[in-house]
Amino acid sequence: MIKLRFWLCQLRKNPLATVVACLLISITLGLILGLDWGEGFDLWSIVSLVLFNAAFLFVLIKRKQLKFWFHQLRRNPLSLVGIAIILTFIIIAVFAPLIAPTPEGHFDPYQIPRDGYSPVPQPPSEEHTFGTTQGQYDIFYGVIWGTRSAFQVGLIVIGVVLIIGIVLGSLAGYFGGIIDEVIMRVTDIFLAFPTLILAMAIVVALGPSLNSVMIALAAVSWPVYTRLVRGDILAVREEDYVEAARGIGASHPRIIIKHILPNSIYPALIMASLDIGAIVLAAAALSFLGLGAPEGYADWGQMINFARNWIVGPPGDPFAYWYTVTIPGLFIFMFVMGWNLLGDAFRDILDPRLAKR
Amino acid sequence: MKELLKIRGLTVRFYTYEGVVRALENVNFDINRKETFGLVGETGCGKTITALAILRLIPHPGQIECGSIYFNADNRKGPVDLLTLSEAQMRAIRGSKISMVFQEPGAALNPVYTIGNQISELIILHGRQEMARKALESVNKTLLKTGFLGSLFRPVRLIERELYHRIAKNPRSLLPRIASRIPLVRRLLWQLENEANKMAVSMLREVEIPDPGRVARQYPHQLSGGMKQRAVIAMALACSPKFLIADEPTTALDVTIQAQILQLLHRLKNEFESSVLYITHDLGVAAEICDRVGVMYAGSLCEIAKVDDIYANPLHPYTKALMAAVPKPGVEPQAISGTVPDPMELPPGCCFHPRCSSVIEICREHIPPMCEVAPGHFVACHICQGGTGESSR
Amino acid sequence: MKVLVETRNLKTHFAILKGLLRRPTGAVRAVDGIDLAIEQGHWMGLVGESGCGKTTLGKTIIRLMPPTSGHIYFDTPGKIKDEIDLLEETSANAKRLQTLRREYDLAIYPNKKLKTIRRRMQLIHQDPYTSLNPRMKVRDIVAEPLVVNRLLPRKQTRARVVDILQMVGLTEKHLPRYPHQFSGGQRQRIAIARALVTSPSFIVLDEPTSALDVSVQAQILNLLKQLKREEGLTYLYITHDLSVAESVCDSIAVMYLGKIVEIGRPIELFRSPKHPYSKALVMSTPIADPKRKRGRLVLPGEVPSPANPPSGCRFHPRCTRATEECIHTEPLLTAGDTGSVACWHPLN
Repeated sequence: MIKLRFWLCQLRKNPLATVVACLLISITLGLILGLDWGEGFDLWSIVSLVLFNAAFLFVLIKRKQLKFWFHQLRRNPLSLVGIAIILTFIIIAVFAPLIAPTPEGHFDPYQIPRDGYSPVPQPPSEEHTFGTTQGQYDIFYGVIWGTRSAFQVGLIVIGVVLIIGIVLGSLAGYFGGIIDEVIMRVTDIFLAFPTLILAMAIVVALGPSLNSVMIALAAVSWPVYTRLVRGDILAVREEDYVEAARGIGASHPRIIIKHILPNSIYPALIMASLDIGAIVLAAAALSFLGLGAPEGYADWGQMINFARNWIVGPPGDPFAYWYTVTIPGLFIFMFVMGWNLLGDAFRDILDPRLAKR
Repeated sequence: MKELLKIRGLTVRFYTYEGVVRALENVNFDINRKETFGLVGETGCGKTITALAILRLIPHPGQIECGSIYFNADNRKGPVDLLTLSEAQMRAIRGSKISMVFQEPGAALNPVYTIGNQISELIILHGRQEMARKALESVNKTLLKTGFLGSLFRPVRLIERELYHRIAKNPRSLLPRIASRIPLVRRLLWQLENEANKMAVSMLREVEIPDPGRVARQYPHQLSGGMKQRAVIAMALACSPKFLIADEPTTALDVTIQAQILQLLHRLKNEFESSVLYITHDLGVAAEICDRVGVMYAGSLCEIAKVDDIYANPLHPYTKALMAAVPKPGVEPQAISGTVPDPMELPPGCCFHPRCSSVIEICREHIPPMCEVAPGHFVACHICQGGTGESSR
Repeated sequence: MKVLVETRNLKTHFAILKGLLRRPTGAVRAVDGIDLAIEQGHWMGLVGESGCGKTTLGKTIIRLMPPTSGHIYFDTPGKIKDEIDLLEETSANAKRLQTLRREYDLAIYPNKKLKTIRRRMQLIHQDPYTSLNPRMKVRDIVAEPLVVNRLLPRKQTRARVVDILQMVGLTEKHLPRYPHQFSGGQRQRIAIARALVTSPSFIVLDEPTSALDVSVQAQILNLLKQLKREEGLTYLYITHDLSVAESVCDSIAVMYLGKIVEIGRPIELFRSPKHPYSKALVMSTPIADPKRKRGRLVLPGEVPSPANPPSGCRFHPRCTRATEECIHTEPLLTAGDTGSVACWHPLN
């Protein structure tokens, strides 16, 4: 309660920010209450708009700290590029229904609309900005809505993997002994398999769909995070303030949550941001092999799957169907690179502060 | 110039995001030959920065704004301003003419190389010619031996002799440098390492390490703190520098080991005839080992005097307060009121004035110049100079 | 004077596990049979070099480390302690021994029972730069002991925190700041505040000023003196700096390789130390006066490893007065008229 009052006080200091904040909040509320925004309005839009507002308020309140972070980042201009790329993708994902509106009568906005049934892809034209791929699926629609799928896959998998990694890693690192041994042997078993092969096996066992892709990728990525978190916790466990907390009589959960985790979690977070790109890449690979989203689903890997037969065109003109491969490929490439640069940016921001401590 | 080191007007500033940190402001002092000069002060007063400035090792974002450091190693060549030398020239000086002993012995030693390896690396780097001459002698001796094996390896030895001869004449001659890059041919220069190793073992014996041959083959983690510090001192003195900077070398050690190390340093200083800049925050240690003492506060020197004078008759209020704060048996330590100022916002005038018990009006406005109030006793204080100050050194 | 904290034959060994099956092949005998009695309101100094086990002893007394054997008594009547000793020696009535020990002997307290006693004993760490959680605000750090033990309701917690901070010389505006915004001396004050907030009666100070400058050290020592007087505290002050111990402590215990070799008042220890090791320590401590050099008694050799201590008197390899007796039999701490010493041939 005290914190809320504090935040409101901050807003009052800056009237322009307050106006913009009110605008954003009212748009969000309007959407929730059913303002018509085209057929593509769904849970995803609400959640992202709410997060947007939260981020904006965060920016208002932590202005000084953000200025410091910006100064750190200025030394490495590529990280600013990364942030810009990801912000662009976020805007594309959030405003997908406005950028690529679903045509009338279409049930599932994630099913790419078809303009006919001819298997030959059509080049970019007035009607189809990026052209169409095999089966006349609109590429433009596909890559725009594919951004949403990419974020879904990346964020959900990384979220789940982080939670598993933190919980198991803390248990293993803090308590040691037999718990540590058991958890580490289980991670060893998972790490013994080549990741993509194991993911493929799991997807096949569960039946190809985007959900099974997410489950498979989560199952394959969690051991690395567990080890990472465990290693950091082993280091922080011996610090003086943890011993002081024990001397006060703090319980184990309190020590882990309040003392050890806040000091040891940053390397895991940095790795997570780097990994989102890798997860999306792996998901695209699985979709390319036909093990991912169903046919016609708006997913970048799915679109490259369509382009499989059209990578090389007829003998006289090998690049005839370049748009089927290049455009989804470009989106994947920019997405992964953006997250990699963002991960580097996080490391630049968080590491010097770690060093200062 | 008969002094070994003369520092004039040294000013170092760090340009950080939060502001400009004034690490050193107009530092002036001299160090004579064969003398131990103690630089005493508390944390953050700039003593380590002074040492790093002499060696030109100030880290980014620090800048040496102005000043000059005259170093007169060789009386024939005359003094040279260290701040005007190029990086390559400084590299030639670091380790061979000026060397440094750091505070943490564990941090100064590379954990993946043996002690002997690290010392001999230094010796080869700076004393290549010397080693080559010694290697030449031993190769010549081997060539005189006859016998089956001797004649078998004769051509190899002849090549070696030629290489060492060239290095002894000119340490940077071309042929040996090419030879040291080719993998198998490089083995021919093994005598150099051998000689350097022997020299390293003899240095370890100098610093009173028992069984130096065995210790030279050990890794730093196998030694105790006192032994590691001795090894670091051996490394620093390996090339017989004229000037040794010791940055709190015994702070991390126990009291009895500290006594041993201080005794060692005393003996070595006399034997190698070098001067020592001894940085410490411990007044007791400074009293034990130094000939002259300089007291620093917040980036500038307050008082410089001979060790007997400064302990018997401290003039600057900060020096007096520092002496009173040291715990002595049976006497209660007196705290100094206030705290050390933020180096980004130093008070105007004399930086000690907010905490000074005898502050007068002029202290708040003008920085006191360093004046000689008694032979060899310099103070930077308005009160000690009677309000007027002649600006001399 | 009532004895507040007493240890009898306290031992803390760390097992060395070697080999594939991790068998204990030996032990680091950090604390090897210590009998220490600290009276209420007393400032006891514990002096020794690194590796002698003084930090281990301090942490074992307040049960941050589990002792291997021995007894730790906190505010226990003398009769009970003697009774326990008697019962142990004669091995009669094991049940009574068990009950008594469960009630009074800190060495075998289970974790739950320890929580009740932890409020009365606290530890102040050596390094103020690492003993405070860098991601917690000062008000959370100081309030944590109260919160964990659920001692006070929320509003009163805040009032108590402000109270304590003022006692150590900080103000209310320091509450929402993080430790890295403070200097070393101020951080140590925060650590002291955290130790005092539950009104303990016994505080172990593990070299609290060794990481601080001389002038700040003087401030902290004066603060500790004032707090001891106002709150009626008992201190166990661990340090390697003999001059600090000499100027503030009521009595000093000298420790070497896991055993106490001498206990005495500072003036006597400084003027006429009885154990050769104490004499070496006194001689090696530099004095801030070039004219009064304490004499060149430089102790030869290095401290032996506590995993393999020498037989008999532990100091005999470095002692100039060692005899046959010293090599074979270990001397016990015998009380004299001006303190105790553990030596077959004490000086003076």
